[in-house]
Amino acid sequence: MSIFLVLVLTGLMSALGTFITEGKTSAGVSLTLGYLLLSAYFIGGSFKRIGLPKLTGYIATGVVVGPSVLGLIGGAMLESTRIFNGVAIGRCGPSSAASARSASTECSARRCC
Amino acid sequence: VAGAALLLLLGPSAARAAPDAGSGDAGAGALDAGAIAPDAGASSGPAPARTGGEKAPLERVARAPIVAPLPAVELDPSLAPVIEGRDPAAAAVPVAPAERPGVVIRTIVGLLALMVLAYLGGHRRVLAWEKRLGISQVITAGFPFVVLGMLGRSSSVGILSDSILAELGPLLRLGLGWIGFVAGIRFDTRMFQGLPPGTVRIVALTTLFPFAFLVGASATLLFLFSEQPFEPGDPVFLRDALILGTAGAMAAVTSTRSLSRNGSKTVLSRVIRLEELAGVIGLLFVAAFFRPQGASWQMPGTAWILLTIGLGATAGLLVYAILQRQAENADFLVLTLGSISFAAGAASSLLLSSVVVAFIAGVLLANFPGVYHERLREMLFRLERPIYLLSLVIVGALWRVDDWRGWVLMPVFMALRLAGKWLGTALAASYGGLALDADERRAIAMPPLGPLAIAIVTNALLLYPGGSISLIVSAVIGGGVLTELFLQLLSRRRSRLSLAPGSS
Repeated sequence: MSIFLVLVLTGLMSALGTFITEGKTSAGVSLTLGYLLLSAYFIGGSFKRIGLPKLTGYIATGVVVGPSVLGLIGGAMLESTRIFNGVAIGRCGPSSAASARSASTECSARRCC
Repeated sequence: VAGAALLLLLGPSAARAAPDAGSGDAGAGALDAGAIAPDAGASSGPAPARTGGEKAPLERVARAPIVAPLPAVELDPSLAPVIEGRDPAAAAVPVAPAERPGVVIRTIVGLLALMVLAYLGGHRRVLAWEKRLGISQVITAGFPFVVLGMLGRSSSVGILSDSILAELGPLLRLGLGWIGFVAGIRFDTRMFQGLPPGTVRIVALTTLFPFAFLVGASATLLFLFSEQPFEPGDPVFLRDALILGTAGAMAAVTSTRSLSRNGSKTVLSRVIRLEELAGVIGLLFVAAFFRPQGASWQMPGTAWILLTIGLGATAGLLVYAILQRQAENADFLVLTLGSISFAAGAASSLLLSSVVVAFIAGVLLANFPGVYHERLREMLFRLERPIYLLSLVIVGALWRVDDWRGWVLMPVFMALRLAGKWLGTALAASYGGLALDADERRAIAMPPLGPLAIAIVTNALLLYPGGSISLIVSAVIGGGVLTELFLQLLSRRRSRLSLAPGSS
């Protein structure tokens, strides 16, 4: 089902992409953001089911839909979605720090016991 | 429906006003659009250049479009970042090296503050506090965010510069999609089972009168403001008047708060839902019949209507399939956000209304069977207010307050909207067959403007970015605030009079 949904999304994205001539409109960014969120979610889930990390699935999605392979998301569009890199890194930092802190607390607790 | 009737009535005159509309520009447009060019004969006009002068039988029966094509309008420079995004070729505004850290810190802190304020604005304690103060109506509560947007855009503050606005542009489209989706998800058809007789008549009258008043008055005023010669079928006047009329017909569901009986609240909220449906239909017609410049396909308005409905249905089915998955809360948010962003982006790519497409998808999801309804509603309603408030910041940044014509339209919008609502309610109460008490009648006749009205004009601003459309935005935002201030004053005066000694 996940693969079918990704194929449908990719078909729609490919068809709609033909209308975005300049590749840098806010409509295109909105479409790209939605497509990336959904397809990465499903492909990440599929990777997890076969025992691979979700993150690998997200990266694989980016490689396949990016300018190098399918070209669904062109270079100009990637440039326009740069803001999400910053947001993602900003989100990952505190999240990783929180995980590290909780792991370290857990270790200390084990030592105490 | 009234908009469609008006378009059909004005059709012949519009076609006469532009006898070669569709055969010249539109035909050339069809030639430019390679994908659809072979069907141009069946669309808005023939393509003489391609047929080599000899008319094919299909071309002889091709009709002129109902509405003449919109003239080419230069993109408003203040809207360009939001419409076109960041231009990589454009040189960045030079900032002295010594000032750069200050600019960066100010921008980050400013954007963070806006996000925090938007989050707090949607918090239930803040909502309760607003309710106690009597400023709980959506537009009054959101107006400070419009002002923040204006301030942020000003050169002295400079938080919302062109490049920042370009980055935030997709947020505005997402916000419009979100508002449309929320309006659609509220449209559960079971809600309309067992409607008291006469309800539909009330909806028709209270929608039609403000619509008609506003269309007439705004067309006249826009003509007076314009330096062009008057033509009854001028597509720009007609488009702007229809948008203003459609937005004016919307009412806020918060007007039910003044009612004490639960039964009255239920009926009135259904009336408002039906009015929202009328507003969405109005926007659907405007976006389909008044195609923006740059639309690559040349098709009749009815084909654009079908395409919009089809796109909305496709988005609805897709989201339905996506939401069938069992997901954690954070994953569910990602799926919802991605689905709405995709639907809004798809609509915007085709230069269709993202509010309408998301509304159709939302209606389908509200009425399909499944176990996701409560969770989806909770998610949508939780984020509705912060997203709406952030959208208002961008709207404020794009608002052209320096144009005096917008300020003239504001009180006219308020007065004619309320007059239309009052007259429609009075007629419905007299001849409509539904008994209304004084409170119910007041709530229907004097409602504040709903958030869908703001979404309608903002969507129009994104579809037609240039010319007189910014006046319509000023009229609706300013008129909405004036309406709420007027209604507050009226309500307080009524409370004072009822408390006065000797009052019954």
